[in-house]
Amino acid sequence: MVRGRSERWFDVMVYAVLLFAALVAVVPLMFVVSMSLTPYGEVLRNGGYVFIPNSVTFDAYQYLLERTKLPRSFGVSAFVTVVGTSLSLMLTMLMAYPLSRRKLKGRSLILLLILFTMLFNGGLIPTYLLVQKVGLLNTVWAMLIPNAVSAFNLLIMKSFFESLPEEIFEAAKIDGAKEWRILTTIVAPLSVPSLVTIGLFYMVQYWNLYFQAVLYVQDAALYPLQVVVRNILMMNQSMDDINVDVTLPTVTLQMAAVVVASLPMIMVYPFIQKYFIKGMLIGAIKG
Amino acid sequence: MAQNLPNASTTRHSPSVRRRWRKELGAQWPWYLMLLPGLAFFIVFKYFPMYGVIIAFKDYDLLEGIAASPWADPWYKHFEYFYRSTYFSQLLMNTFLISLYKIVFGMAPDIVMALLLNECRKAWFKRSVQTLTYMPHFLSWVIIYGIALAFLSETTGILNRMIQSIGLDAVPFLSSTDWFRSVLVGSEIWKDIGWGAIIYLAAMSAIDPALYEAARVDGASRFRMMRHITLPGIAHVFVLLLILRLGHILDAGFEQVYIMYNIRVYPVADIIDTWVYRTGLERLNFSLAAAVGLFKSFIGLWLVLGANALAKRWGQGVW
Amino acid sequence: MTKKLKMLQTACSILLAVSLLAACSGNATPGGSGSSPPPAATEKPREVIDIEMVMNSWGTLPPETGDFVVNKLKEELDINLKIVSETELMDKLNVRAAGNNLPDLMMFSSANDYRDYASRGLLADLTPHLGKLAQVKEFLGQGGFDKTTVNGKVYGVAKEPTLRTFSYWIRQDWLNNLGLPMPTTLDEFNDVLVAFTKNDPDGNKKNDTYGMTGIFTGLHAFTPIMTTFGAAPTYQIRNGEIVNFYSDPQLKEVLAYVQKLADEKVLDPELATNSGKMPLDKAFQGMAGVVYTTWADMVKDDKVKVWKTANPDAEWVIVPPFKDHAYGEAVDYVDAGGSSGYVALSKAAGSNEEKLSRILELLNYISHGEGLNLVQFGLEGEHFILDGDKVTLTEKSGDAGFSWIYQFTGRPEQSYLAAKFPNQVSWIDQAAGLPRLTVYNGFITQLEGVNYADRDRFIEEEFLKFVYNKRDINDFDQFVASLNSMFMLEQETEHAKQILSGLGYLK
Repeated sequence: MVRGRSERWFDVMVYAVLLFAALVAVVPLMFVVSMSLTPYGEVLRNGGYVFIPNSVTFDAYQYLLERTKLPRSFGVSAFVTVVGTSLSLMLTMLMAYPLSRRKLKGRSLILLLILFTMLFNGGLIPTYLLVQKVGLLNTVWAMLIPNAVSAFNLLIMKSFFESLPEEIFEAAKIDGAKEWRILTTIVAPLSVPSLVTIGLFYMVQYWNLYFQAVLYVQDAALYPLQVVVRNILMMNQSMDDINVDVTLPTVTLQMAAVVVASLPMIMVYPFIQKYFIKGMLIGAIKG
Repeated sequence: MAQNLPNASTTRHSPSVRRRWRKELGAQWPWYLMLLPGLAFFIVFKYFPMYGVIIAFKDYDLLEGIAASPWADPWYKHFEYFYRSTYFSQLLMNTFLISLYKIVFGMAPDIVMALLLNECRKAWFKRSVQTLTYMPHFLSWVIIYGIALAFLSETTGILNRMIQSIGLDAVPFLSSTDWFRSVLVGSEIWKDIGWGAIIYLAAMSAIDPALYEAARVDGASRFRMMRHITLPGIAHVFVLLLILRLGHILDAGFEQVYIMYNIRVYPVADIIDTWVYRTGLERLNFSLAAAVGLFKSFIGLWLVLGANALAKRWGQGVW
Repeated sequence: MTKKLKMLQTACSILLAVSLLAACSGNATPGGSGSSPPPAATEKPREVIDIEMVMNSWGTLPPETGDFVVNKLKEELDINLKIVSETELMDKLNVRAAGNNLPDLMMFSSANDYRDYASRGLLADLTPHLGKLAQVKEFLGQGGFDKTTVNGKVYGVAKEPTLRTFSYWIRQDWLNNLGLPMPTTLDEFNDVLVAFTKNDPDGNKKNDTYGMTGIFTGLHAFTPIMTTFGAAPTYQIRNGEIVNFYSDPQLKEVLAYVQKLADEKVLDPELATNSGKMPLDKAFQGMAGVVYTTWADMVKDDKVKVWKTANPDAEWVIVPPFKDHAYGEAVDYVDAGGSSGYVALSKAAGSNEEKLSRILELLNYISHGEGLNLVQFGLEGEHFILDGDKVTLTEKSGDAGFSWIYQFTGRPEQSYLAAKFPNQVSWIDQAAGLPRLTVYNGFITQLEGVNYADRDRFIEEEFLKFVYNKRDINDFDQFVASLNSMFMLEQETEHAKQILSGLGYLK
C-alpha cells in the first residue's frame, strides 16, 4: 500500500510538471497565432499583444499567398527537404553502420577526422569557390550537396547503432548474412526510432535552410521558404528609407509568415512520435 | 585488434602480420564500400576547402585570392589584433559564461522532459505535451524576441504588469545586467526543451524492455527504474552531446545574442561572435574573422579531446 | 521475423529508391546559370546585351514576365537587364568577388563598402568616361561624382539622397487635453514632456504615459534637441571651422539636457532596448506623446489607419524648430555627402567596351526625361499621364509599384513624392521645409587602425552613463580625452579637415 501511494505521487508529479511545461510552451504560441489573425491596429489598441483575438481576419494569410513569393518558395523548400532528407539519411546510415562496428580498421582515425570537421572549417570563401568549381552554383543541388552529411547526426546515429545488442550480429554472421543485408534487414529496422530522429533532424535542417540558399543561389525562382520569410521578418529592422516605396510588413503579417513557415514541420511530428514506442522492435525480433 | 597496431607500426611487417592485415582488410571491404560515398563527401566538401584557414595568417585580399595574398606581418597579426582589442577579456568571459550556463542549465531540462514523457502513461497526453513543447523550436529568434518583449518588457510586458499590480517595481529583464544572461539561457531552454528531448526519447525506445520486466519482478519502484535503467540507457547519448557541445564552448549563440542584446547589457552580453560581426561589418576583414574562428576552434578541440579521454575511462568515448 | 519487420524493410528500400530517383531526375529541376545570352533575332545592328545588377531590394522583385521597364530598356538600349536582390548583400558580393564572378552592376548601400571595393581594385574606373555621363551629371551635379571619388578616381555614381524629413512629431490632442500650447523652446518642451508623463494626457486616470519614446543609439531620439544646441553627428562646419560631434562642447550641453529629462522620468525607460520600429508602435499605442520620425512612418495611408484604429482620438503633428537655438534653427541635420546608394561596375564589365558603353547609356537614360519617368512612374499613358510637367498617376499605377528598384541614380525627390503621395503633399512639404544643420559625413573616409565597432560601443556606453547619471557630466572632457587616446579622435578630425579642404568645403 505504501508503494502504491508513492507511485501515485510520482504520477501526480509527472503530470503536473508536464502540464506546466505544456502551458509555458503554449501561451506564447497562442500569442503568435492570435497576432497573425488580428489586424495590426487592433493589436496596438490592445497594448501590443493579443492572446485571444476578438476579431479574426485572414488578410495576412491571403496577402502571403497572393502577393508574396511564399507559395513558390514553399515548393522549393518541400523539394529540397524531401530529396535532401532521403539523400542525407541514406549516406549517414551507410557511414554510421561501419563506424559503429568496433572491429573496423581505422575506425578511430575516421571518427577523429569527422569530428575535426565539426570544429574546423575552411570558411565562407573556399567553400563558395568549391561549390562554384563543381558547377553547383545557382542550382537546387547547391542547397543539398554541400551539407549532405552532418557530422553531428552521423555521430549520434553511430552511437545508437553501437547500443544495439551484440548478439544480433553474432546470429547474423552465423546465418552468413552479407554486411549489406545486415544493415538493411537487421540494423535499420531495429533502429527505426533513431533513424526517424535523425531523419527529423535532417528534415528540419533542410527546411530551415537559409544562408546557403542566399549564398549559392541567385535565381529568385530557386529561393526556399526561409529566404522569403526572412525578408518579411527583417525588413523592419533596417533603418533605410525604403519605406517610402514599400509598405513595411506589419507584425500581423510577420506572425502569419512564421505560422505558415513552421506548420509543415509541426504537422509532421505526430507521425514521427509513433516510432518512439518503448522497446517495440527489440521485442519484435526476440519474439 | 588493438594489440596489433603497435606491432604493425613499430616492427617491420613480418609476412604473417601483413597477411593477417590484408585478410582482415579484405574481409572488411563491404564496410569500406559503405563508407566510401560519405567519406568522399567529407574529403571534398569539408577537407578540401580547409586550406582557407591560412587566411588567418595572411592579409587576405579579395582580388588577389588566397594564394597570392601577402602573409600577415607578423604571422600572428590578426590574433594579436583580437587579443589587444578594447574588450577582449570581457568578450571571452561573456562567451565562456553564457555558453557554460547554457550547458549546465540547458542540458538537464531536456533529459528531465524526456524522462517525464517516458513515464507518462496516457498516450494522448504524452503526445500533446510532446508536440506543444516541440513547437517553439521553429520560431526564429526575432519572433522569440518579440514574444520576450510582450512578456518581459519593462513598460508593456505582461509579467511586469502583474508585478506592478501587486505593488512591486517593474523589473528590467531585458536591459539589466543582472537579468540578461538568465533571459538568454531561459529563452533557449524554452525554445529547445521539446526538441532536445527527442533524442533522449529515441534512446529510451532502444532500451530492452526485459530490463524493466526484471526490475518490476524484483519490486523496484518506478523512480528506481528510472534511475537504474532509463538513465544509464541514455547516458551514452548525454555524454556524446556533452562532448560535442564542449567543442563549441566559444559559440554562445550568435543570432540569439545579436537580436536580443542592447547597449545596456553589452558588459554581460557582448560575445566574440557579435564583436566579429560588428567589426567585420566595417572592413572586408576576412583575416580577422578567420583568426578568431581558428582560436575558437582550437579551444574547442582541446576541450573535446580532453573530455573524450575522460569519457573513455568510463567506456563512453566518441572514438 | 514478424510482419512489422518486413514492412520496415520495404520502407527502407523505398527510401533508397526515392533518393536514387531524386538523384537521377536532377537535370529536370529548374536551374541553369543564365549566363549565355539568347541570340538576338532582331534586325537592329546592335546585339542585345545581358546585364546583371545586384542590390538589396528587400525582396521586392520585378515581375518575371511583362516587366515593362525591362522591355523598354531592351527596345531603347538593346539591354537585357536582370535585377538580383540579395538579402545578405555584402556576404554575397564578397564571395562572388572571390570567385571572380562579380555582377556587371552593383548597388552598395554603404559608402564604406563601396570605398573598400574601389580601393581594392574590384571596380571599374569611370574617370576616363565621365564625359559620357552627361545626363547623369546634369541630374546629380558634380556632387554625384565627388561622393564616389576614391584616391582621386571615380568608380561609381552616388544615387540622389532621399529627402530628409525627420523631426519631432507630437500628439496635438494631448496638448489640447492639457491646455498646453505647442512648445517653442527647449524649456517649454521639457515642461510638455513632464506634463505628458504626469498629468494624464489621455485622460484614462492611469499613470501609463511617457513624454517621449525613441531609440537611444547615437542619441537618435534626441536629434532635434541636439541640433537646437548646434550639435550634429559627426562632422560639421561651424564658423568656418570643422567640428567633430564627439569633441563638440555643445554635446556636453545636449547630454546635460537629456540627463535632466531622464531624471524627470519623462523618457520611455526602454529607450536603450528599443530598435527598428518599436518606438513607433509605442507611440501609436498611446504610450508616448513625442517621437522623432518621418512623414512616411506617420501619415502614409496605411500608417494613419493603424494609429487611428488603435487610438481614434489621436492627432499627430510636426513640432516646429525651437527658438532658443545656439547656432540657428534646426530640427535635424542633413548630410551633404549623403547618398542612398552607390552604383558601380565590376572591373570585368568595365573592360568590356561594348558592355561599358551600354551601361553608361543606361545610367544616362534613367537620369533624364522619358527614362527617368519610366523608373519613377512607369509607362506614360498607362501608369501615369503627363500634363506639361505635372504627373498624374492613373488607376493602373499600382502595377508599376516595383519600378523604384530601377532608380539607380535616384529621382527628383520632391516632385516624385508629390506625384506618388498626393494626400501627403502638405506633410511632406512641411517636413522637408524645416531648417536643418549640414554635416559632411559622406565624404569622410575611415581612419586606418581604428576599430570603429569598439569605438561605437565605447561611445554608446558612456552616453548611457552620462544620461542616466552613472557618470558625472563634468567628466565630459575626460571622455573626449579617452576618445583621443583610445580611438585617435584628434587624428580623425584632422583627417576630415583635410578631405573637406580638398573638396573646397573648408577654406
